[in-house]
Amino acid sequence: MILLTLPLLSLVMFLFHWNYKALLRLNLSALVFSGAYLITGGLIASQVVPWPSWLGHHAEWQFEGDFYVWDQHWSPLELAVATSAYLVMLASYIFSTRYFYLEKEARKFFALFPIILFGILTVTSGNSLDVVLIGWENVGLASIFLISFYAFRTRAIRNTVRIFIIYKLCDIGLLLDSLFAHHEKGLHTINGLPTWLSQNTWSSGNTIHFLALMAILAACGKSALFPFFNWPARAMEGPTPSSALFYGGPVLHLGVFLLIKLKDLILISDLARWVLLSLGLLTFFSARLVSHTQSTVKGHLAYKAVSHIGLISIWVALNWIKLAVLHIVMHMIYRSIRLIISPSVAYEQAHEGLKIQKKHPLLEGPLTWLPERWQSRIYNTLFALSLQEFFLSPSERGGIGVFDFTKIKRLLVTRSSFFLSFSGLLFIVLAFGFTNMNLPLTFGLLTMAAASLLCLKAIFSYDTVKSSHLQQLVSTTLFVLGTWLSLGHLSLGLLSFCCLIAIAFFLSFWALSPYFNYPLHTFHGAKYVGINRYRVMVVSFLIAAGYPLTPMFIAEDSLYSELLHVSITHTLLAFTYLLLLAIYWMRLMVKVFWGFHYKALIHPVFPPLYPSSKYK
Amino acid sequence: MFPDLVATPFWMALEELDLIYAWSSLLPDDYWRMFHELNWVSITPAARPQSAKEDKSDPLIKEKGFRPIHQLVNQKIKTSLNELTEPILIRYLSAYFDQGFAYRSPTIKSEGLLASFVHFIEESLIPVKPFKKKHLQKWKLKSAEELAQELLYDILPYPDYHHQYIREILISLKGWSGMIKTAEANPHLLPIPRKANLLDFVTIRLMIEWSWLKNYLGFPQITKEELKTAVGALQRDIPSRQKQHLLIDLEKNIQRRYLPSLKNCLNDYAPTTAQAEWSFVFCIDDRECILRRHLENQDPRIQTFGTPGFFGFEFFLRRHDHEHLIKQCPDPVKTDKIIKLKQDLQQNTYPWTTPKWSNLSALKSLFFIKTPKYKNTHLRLIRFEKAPPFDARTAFSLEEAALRIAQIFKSMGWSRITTSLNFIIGHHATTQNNPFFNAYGCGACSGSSGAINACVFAYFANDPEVRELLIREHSIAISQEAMFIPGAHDTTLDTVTFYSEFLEHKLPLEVLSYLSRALEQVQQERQLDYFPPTQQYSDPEKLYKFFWKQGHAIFQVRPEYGHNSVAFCYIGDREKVKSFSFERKSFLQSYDCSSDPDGIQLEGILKAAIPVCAGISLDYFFSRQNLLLGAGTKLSLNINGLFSITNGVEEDILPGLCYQMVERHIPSRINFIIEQNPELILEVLKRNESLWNYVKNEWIILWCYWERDIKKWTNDGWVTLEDSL
Repeated sequence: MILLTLPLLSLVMFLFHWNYKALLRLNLSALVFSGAYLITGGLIASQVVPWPSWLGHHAEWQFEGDFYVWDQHWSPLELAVATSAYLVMLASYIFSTRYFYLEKEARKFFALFPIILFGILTVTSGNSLDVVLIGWENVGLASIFLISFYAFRTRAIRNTVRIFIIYKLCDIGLLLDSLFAHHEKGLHTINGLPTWLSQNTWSSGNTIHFLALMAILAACGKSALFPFFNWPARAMEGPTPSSALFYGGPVLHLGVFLLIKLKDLILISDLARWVLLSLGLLTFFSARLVSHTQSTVKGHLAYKAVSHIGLISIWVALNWIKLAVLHIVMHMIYRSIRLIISPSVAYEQAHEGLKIQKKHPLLEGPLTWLPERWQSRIYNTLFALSLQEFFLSPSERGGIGVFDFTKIKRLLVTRSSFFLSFSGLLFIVLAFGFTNMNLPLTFGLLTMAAASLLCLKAIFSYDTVKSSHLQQLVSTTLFVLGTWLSLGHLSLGLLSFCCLIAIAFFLSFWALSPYFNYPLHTFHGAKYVGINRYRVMVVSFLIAAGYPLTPMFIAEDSLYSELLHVSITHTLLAFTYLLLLAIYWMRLMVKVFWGFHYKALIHPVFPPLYPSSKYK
Repeated sequence: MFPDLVATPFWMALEELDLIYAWSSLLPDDYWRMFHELNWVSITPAARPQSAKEDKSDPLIKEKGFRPIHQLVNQKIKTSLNELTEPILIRYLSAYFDQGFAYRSPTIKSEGLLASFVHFIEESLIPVKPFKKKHLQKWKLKSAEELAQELLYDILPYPDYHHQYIREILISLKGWSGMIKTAEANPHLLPIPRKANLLDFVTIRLMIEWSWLKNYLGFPQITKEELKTAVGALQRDIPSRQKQHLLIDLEKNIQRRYLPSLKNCLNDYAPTTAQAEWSFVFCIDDRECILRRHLENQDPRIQTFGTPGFFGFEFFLRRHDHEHLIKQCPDPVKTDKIIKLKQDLQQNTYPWTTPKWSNLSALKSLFFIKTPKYKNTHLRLIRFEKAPPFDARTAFSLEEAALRIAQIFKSMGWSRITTSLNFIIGHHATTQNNPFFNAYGCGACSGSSGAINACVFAYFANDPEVRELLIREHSIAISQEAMFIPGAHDTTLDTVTFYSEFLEHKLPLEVLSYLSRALEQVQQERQLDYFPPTQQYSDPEKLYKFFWKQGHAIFQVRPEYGHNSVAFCYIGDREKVKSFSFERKSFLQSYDCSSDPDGIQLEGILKAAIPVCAGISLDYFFSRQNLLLGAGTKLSLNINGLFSITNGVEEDILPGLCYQMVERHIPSRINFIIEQNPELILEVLKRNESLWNYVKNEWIILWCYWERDIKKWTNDGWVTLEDSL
């Protein structure tokens, strides 16, 4: 529980501009606390001492008929991963204290550091899906702010937005798991999973497949499994220690570690095992192929790391859990250090001699009997495939690879086609709704769908900030109305959601007020004009995106479970809407506050300049 | 170093930069305010620039460079054409130029970049976005120039604006265009050669832009009026014109601090009768300036000389068992001589202690760094190592060696070597985990260590046959008992290593203790870079440990401040300015004006000194405007293909130096002070057009000391010191 206060404290210290040394001291105390926590965990796992009651490892509280369980548990496997992650973090901390000396935004790194530490320890030691989810979201939050560490670089912030969308999309998996397994079916602790599975008669049915696949989806996002395998390389934008923490080190392995935690769930479903096995193989081969054409050091290391993640997920699918944990521990430490000393590669290569360029093994091996022309064709095809990253890198225009979403985008942006698509939707929902549900529920569903559509329109909007944000206000009101209609009464979850989103809107309107006339087709870098308004915008973003550092997390969670009593369609629509809302808020923040501004050229931290010894 | 840039006048080049970036090429206002507070520049309250917080103006510029036509196109197509074009282009270019990091490289055609690119798309069985193969068939038949013109005409049907459009293309990836231009002019700079030219680069970029517009977005309909207003915004007030006087003020401030007292010092000089007993030959580098001053202050029997740190021997070094050649002479000097090391060097002999990328022992240095202890505390900063075993005779014949040695001695004006101990000292730096390691090394050895050159020089100068040749053909007399001892000065740690193990107990302790004490004083003075005057170390032991850790820690981003604040290059007799302190601000080249009536030696000196010293100074000058012209911060750098650095995986490559290297630099042009007849100096400079360009176009400031007065060259003629300040 002490751990929980540290990230909050660091965020507060950062927002209220506490000084660098205070932040460093906070980081050090976070590290000491975590070390103590790990040692206790070790003693408990080796059964030297029982869980001390004052440590508060287990807590339950009720909110609107739902159980929320805070539970931590150490087993040797978890302890191994947590300890190696802790060691990597410790090394990074020692490295960064001097590395960031006099750096412009060093405070940012040290404010985010305890959040990552907290996230990793809660995910590894958490014994209920609630706890894991809290840690999981915190890590995601710290990650996007570290990727956009240099917020004036356009390429970096574009990548940040993409990674944010991937994270949010995949977090749905874990959220659904927690919602269905925990709140609906009464799975309270993770180590109670085997008994829970054996007690339920439906455990071989579709629900189990669904839950397992959702867990794999969550792992896909954080661990960059196949369809998302190219984000770690895109994320090499921040300072070297943060890259080492994320894309080589502890964070990248959290996804597969979640699968190890939920191994009973994965292994009971054959479908999920096959999916995981094939995803692992695909990730391994594709990332390996792409890493061969990478000419930048960090890009190369990122793809190498992802290919190892592919291997680890294969071990999990084959139920070789101990091998997987061993692989995680070794690879985490090895890759982080490789990343930290990556600048040395230039020196080593310049003085120790260059490698001889190798040909593709395909040409030396089984394909030599082919005519030379075909050898060249196959080589170039593979090269094109890996240079374009299997067509999976999203392009600027919202398309992915060869597929292009421009037409859908245009459909949403022009007003007439918006109404056209809306009336189509109306028709479908009415036809569907009247057969299954009563009238208020159908109308509730319809209003929520309209709100989502409007939110989507706002996401693609190129208008001014003011019109876009007002549009979003309308869409949120619609969503609240729709939920109210569906629930039939103003529940506690909905009420708290209303209050919090109202606060978020209020804050964001104040933060954006000087920039209402800015168009949204480019970045404005307003952060460099007024830092206080930017900080307020960040807080409003944290609320709107439902991060666990804010009470919005609990409000959203209870909203989902209330809607689940109504129907699954409603819950999924609420998921979609809140996902879109988070993306919208992120985009608005990024477009207005991040980006190149000529004032970013001024380095505010001047080195201490002492006049040199006396002139003659 | 900037061959064609130097051909344009300095102020015009700055204005050109302002047009490109729509922002001052000189530093932001906050910097000038801080310089004012430090008394580096005197600004009157009225002329003081606004601080960033007070400045409420909304600038036009939203990108790194100012690109009006592209901004117009982006508005029309409602997306950024840049962001669509650059990823695939940058990925292909890095793969093409890769120097051996990537496991697989694309098929390289002998015709060059464009042909390889077309071949790659054509051979691939899957589509390369955004190209379509039917277009490729037509393009293959045309030359690059025709193709570029045709594509350009489709995108922008107004030939008047094509020039501006191409300019914008080049600006948007300024690092890549500069790199390709350099590779085109000096193909030998890439160890694995790659044929490329700027036209190919422009054509490929146009091909990608055209394909996006044709296949996906539709060509933008731009009217001529819109273009006119957009491009017209370029002709705005240029901020640097307002700031030029600030730069001139700052330069004059520096000159006012040093030049009058230098003049007095030169005028007051009276030759001493003390006989020199020990001679030290150093590199002309400004970091040796401080060591020479402290060394000479120890004893009048010590004399020092300065000459470019490759000591006249130009060659490539091949380390034992390695294929890669390391250049050991200034970049403009061409050579085909190779010296091989017979066995590999010891770890401590050379500054090659960087943790290997493939070796995880680096983690150890995070937690503790061991500082070596020495028995003799007086000589803590001096070490003796075994000389690296090399094979110099196969590279240089005795005649060649004698010629090179004679040139060095003549240029320094030192024709009778009577001192018994002559120390030849190169220099290098120790730095870990640092992609800029070459920028800390010896500039005259292309950034590597000058130690091997010193060893080669001493090897030949100690050879009796070479000494005979020197007397017979070059009339340079070296006394019988004179001995040349090679060494190297580590500018980060401030230690000196002598490469002759057997001499450790034979050298007189007196001179060694002088050297050691001088090094300690250097460390004391260098503390000012790191601590305020009130918190200085007084214990030399602690200081020694501090600098050792600066050089050996893998997390250290500021091991030393390199050539920071370099402002002068003094070419003349060191003996005369012995009592004057340039304070690490000056390159020092020894030169005897009386023995050089024709200016032959001066010409040889200037040919090396002007490009190297001015190059270094301008490198620091422009990198001071760090996010536009330098490399930004060192923390997020990524090494691309072993030939460049970038941020992220698909961004533009970065020129210049990083912020941590230049943050204490006082931006000024370099002042060359030459002790010679002004007419002769001009005659020598005008003989070489490339050198004359530097002076004529004001890239350097030229001074001469002649007939008890210091004069400044302006394009109207020579001006006295009093008038010019």
